Amino acid sequence: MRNVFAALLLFIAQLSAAQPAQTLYFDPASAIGAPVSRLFESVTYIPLETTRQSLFGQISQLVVTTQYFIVFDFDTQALYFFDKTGKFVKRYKDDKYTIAALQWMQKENALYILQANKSYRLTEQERDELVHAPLSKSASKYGRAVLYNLNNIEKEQISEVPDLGIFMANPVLLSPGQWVYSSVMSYSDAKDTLDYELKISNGQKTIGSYFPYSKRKATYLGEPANIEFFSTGKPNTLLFTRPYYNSVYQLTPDSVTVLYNFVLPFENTVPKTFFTKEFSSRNELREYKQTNPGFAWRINGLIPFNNFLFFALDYQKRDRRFIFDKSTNRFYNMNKVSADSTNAYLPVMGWNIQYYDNAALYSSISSDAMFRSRDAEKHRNPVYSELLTSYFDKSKSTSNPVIIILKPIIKNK
Amino acid sequence: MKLKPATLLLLLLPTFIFAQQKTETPAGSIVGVVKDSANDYGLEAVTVLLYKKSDSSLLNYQLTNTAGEFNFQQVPLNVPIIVSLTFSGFKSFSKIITLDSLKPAYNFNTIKLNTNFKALDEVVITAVVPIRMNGDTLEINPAAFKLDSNAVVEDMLRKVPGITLWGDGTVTVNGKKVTNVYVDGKPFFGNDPAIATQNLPKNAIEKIQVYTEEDRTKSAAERTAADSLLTMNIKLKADKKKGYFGKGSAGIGTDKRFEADLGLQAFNKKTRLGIGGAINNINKNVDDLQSLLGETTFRSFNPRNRYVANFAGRGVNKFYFLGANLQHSFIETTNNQRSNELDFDLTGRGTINYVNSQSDAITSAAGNSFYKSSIRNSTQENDTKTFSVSYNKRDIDKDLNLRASVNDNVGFGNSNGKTVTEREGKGVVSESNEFSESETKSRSLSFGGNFLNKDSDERNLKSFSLRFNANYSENESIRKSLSDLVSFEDPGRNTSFNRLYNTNSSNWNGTVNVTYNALKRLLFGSNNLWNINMRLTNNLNIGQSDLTYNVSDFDSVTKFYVGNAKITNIHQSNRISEEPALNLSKSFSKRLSNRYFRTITISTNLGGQFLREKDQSNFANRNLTRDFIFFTPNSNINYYYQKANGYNVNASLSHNINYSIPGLDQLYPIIDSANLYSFNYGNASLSPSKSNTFGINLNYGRGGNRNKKADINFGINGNYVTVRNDVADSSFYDSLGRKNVYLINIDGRSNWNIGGNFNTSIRLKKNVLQFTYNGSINNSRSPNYIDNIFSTSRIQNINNSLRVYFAVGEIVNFSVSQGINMSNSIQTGANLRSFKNKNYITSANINLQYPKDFTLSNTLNYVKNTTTNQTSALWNAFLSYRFLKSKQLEAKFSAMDILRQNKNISIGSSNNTITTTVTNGLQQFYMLTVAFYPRKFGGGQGGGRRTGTGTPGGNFGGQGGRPRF
Repeated sequence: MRNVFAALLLFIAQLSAAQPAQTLYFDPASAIGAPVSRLFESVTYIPLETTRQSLFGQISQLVVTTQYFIVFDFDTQALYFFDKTGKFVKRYKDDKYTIAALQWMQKENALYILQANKSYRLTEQERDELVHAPLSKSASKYGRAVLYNLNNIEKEQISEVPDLGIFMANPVLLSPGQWVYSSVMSYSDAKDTLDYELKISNGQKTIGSYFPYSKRKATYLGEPANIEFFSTGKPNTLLFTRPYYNSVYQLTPDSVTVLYNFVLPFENTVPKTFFTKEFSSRNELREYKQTNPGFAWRINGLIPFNNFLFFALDYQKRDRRFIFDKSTNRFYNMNKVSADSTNAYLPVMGWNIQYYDNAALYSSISSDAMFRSRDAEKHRNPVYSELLTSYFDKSKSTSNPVIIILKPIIKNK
Repeated sequence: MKLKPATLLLLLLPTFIFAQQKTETPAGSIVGVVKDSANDYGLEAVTVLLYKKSDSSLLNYQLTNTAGEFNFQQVPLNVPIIVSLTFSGFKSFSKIITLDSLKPAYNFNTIKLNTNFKALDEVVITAVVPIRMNGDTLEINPAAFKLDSNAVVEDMLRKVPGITLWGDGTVTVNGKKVTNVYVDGKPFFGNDPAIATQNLPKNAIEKIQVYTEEDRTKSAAERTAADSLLTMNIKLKADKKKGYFGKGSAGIGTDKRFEADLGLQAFNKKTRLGIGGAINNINKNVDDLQSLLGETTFRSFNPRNRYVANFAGRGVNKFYFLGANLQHSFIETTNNQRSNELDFDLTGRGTINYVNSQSDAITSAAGNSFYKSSIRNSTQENDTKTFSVSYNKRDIDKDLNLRASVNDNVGFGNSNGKTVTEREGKGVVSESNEFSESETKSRSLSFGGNFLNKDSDERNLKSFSLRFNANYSENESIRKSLSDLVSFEDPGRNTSFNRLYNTNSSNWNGTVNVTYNALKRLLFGSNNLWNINMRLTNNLNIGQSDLTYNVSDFDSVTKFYVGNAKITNIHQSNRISEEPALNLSKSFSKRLSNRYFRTITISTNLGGQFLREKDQSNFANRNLTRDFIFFTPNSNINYYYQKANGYNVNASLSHNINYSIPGLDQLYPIIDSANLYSFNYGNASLSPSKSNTFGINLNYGRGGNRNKKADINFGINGNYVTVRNDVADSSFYDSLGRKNVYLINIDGRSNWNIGGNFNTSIRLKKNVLQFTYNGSINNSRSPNYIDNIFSTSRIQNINNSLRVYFAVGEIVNFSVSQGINMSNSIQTGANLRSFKNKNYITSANINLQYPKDFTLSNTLNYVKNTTTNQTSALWNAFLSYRFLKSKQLEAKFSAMDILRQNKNISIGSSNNTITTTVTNGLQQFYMLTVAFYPRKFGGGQGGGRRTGTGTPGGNFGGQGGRPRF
């Protein structure tokens, strides 16, 4: 019990020490649109080469390193390496494992891969428990965390990550030797009453924790959730958002700071009664969510990029992705960002922004959508880059997807 | 008068041409781009309306595309038009323009709309916006549609661009099929959308919402964008959530024909009541209450002419039907995941069937051919009452259904007939007269239920399904039968019977079926076992039947019925069947997103049957206890291929083995010599027969393809069955043409059939052209003995039909179809005859809805049989008109069988007999029917908020989320 108070005190102390958070009043319905050239300096399309070896379904996960576009395709269960011009370099597939998560470890120039053993199929409950208590003995049976050395990808140098017992919780590297992870769930027959939403670990042991919650009483957490972490491009600093809260936090090895508090319109705000309501089952909780499609359950999809903050609302509406322009205090609706002549009237982005670094945001789109868009916009006489001209000449609507690189306009505040 | 099909087509042609011309009008175009004035980006989903200035009637409207563009074609020339733009949060814009032949195209270039901050709060809309996007939902506002005050929802939907109502009742929105039609979020009187769209008045509707739902029948991992279901929700006005509607009609015609129908529905927020009734003597049958309610909707147009006098029926029926259904939901919302409702159903139906028939049969036996000609008159009366109650409760992973029903049936019948038999080269050899009278009563009670627990998750140890059913029935029948046979060759063989049969029986049986889905999980834990799935099923069936069969003969001396000890018997049968099976299945799937998806599933059921049948009787040889063990495996291979934005193919191969055991009456039959023409002597040493069935199935479908104008689908299915130890006839014909049958086990029986259909639907602007082809071939080989001659009967049936349907807008539609049915029966045995039969069937249909409130329909059927050279032609016509301002009164005039050439001919063939039967049916009549549509919507309070579905989701770009397994 003493630990709990200590943690709480530490937590309060750290929160109060931080600079005041900015409150953002945001109405998703009145977020405006813009032609793409007003927000993005350039939109570049890199078709990924299609060969017998490289043909894949869609980009499930994307990592962009200085040398490669690394694609994981769930359909074919393989990793594909393309160089920065889209030329196919290598395919890697391990028949025993499927890929659950990817991270680029820049310092080691290695690809961190969380692999799940295909020989086992866990139930939802088993999986939740495994993620929640990642140090359990059986974890090594169900998966492993490996590093793929990117210095010479042809060699397929793969080594297990040493001293990372918590890999099943899909940890994110915070600083050298420090990983953060999160698994939030409550169950009525839990032994301990207290748990933490955010845990910092050295790989084996928890060395810090934030946001205590009652494991037994917080029935709204009956459906497992987790804090999501987003890289900032700055060393030892991550952004994160919590389930059911509309705040954006910043995490460093020794502090948690609130950067923004979003205030949403009444119809999008989860009412206070939700947090005190006694949900008797996970099904009841799911149903509550279904009957309230307008409630935004959390903020996620954060991408801090100079004067822009890209974010998403987790709710059942079509318009989910938005951009906050800090320099003008304006909110843009990503769905209303329309193509113009600068991107040859092609789709601005695919389903998601799938990767970002200090230089750009990366998305992808199917060749089918590219060819459809070309046919629909012919009457505007778009001017295609050389790469695209040859792509449209030589490829088909069944060719590999195309990477979209979006470079936002940098404004100084 | 004889009409040829071609003549009919010519008669229909002028209407077709007239309709075609109507669609051509000179037209101009209006285009433009709408932008936000302050931020200069294209505004999507702005409502652009075109009104006629003279009477401000709505001409057309559009929602702008993602770039803010709109584009109207086919705009009338020389008419001043108001172009009006509205968008929530922005100031409206309007302009009057007139197009003419010199300047038929008008381009607004860019229209910039200013934000209207005031409007944000109050949502002031000056014009009534007919259609708009509200978030993800397309909303249609009925108030914006100038329609007749009596228009129903369907009339309005026809006016909404992008919405198409198809000939088969399907509704599509921008080419996508509407899967569910709800009223206030719930199904409305069952699954037939017509009950909602053809009854609810436009004026009772607040708005219509069209949105997509996720297909909850699939798991999140399997779901693709193509699996979303398009749902149309009709939202009633707050004060119209209570109401009633229906139709009552009565008609009287020549030839003493009459009809009367009633369909009445009442509803409030939680409870729905439907009542229906029908009575007629024009062979118009009602399947169930739901279909009657579907036929008594307010909308007058019935292009398929489904619920009309049936001239193809056997005999003439007097028919009545009464039904009531009460449905109560304990929870206010019902989506496909949750329900809790109680349902009561009460039906009563009765028929009196008068049949006069004349049949001619040719039977080929060794060296002899027999010609039998008979005349039969029969009357059959039946009356059935059913009451049933069911309870359904469905939660996310549990599904409970309980149902119980009682049934009571009473029947009376009498028939008399006369048969004359001629032998080839001999002339008339015998003549018989039969008369029978019967009365039956039966009652039954059944109770059953299902319980599914986490049925779709085979990894959960508690995943199982349980189905059970119990039935009890009692039957009582009394039959009096008089039969006389006179032989002209040998008077010693004359027979005469006057028998009374009194049968009492009771039956009960219980079935329990359990499937356990998590067998792999139980045995192998979380091991994936190469993705092989294992299930265990068990099917237990226990039954008992008791029969008391009392037969007595009339003693002409004592004038009493005296018991017949040779036939009178009691029989008790007990049967236990236990069928366990282990199911193994494995799927091989490959998906390449946006390209294709294919999966092959191999599944096998290793199952067996333990069967015990115990028979007890007062006849010693009929006391038997038999035990059987059969291995009854079945397997199938399924293949599915879907090409993105293209077509899909589904194919399957299957094999199964089945056994059937000979019944007691095949082993030790009791021979009743009062059956004049057929006596079965059975065979005590018959063995079970084993059949091997191979099946093949192929389906192809292409629809909603953005590059193709036509939707195409076709299917082929085939079956091949071989039977070992088949129970077949070895029959002997005596000189009077009477058949004595001995049963034998014989190998070599086989049957194969193949059938297919092809459908295509082509959109031609507002018109629709559809082609439908159906074909099937059925071949069977049955070895048997006739008069000691081994013969294989080969029977072949070939059916073909082609139908063409064409609809011109809403005004006229017509269809023509041609079918050929052929059957051949070949006997390989020496001196046995073979038969051939061919039928040509032509039909045509035309429906015209013009001028206002008038509907004219014509149907024509022409049948020609080349074997008997018989023809039959049937022409029916219907004309209806709606009266009163509220259109609640309708008069309909029907002219049936105008040509007076209708005949009911049926041809049947068995191994060595072909029979042509002509039965009486309806004859020409004219009928006048008056219908009244009571309807009231309103009263009561209501708010009701739309409940959406789907789980929140959609995170992107984050790290450290839950890993995907």
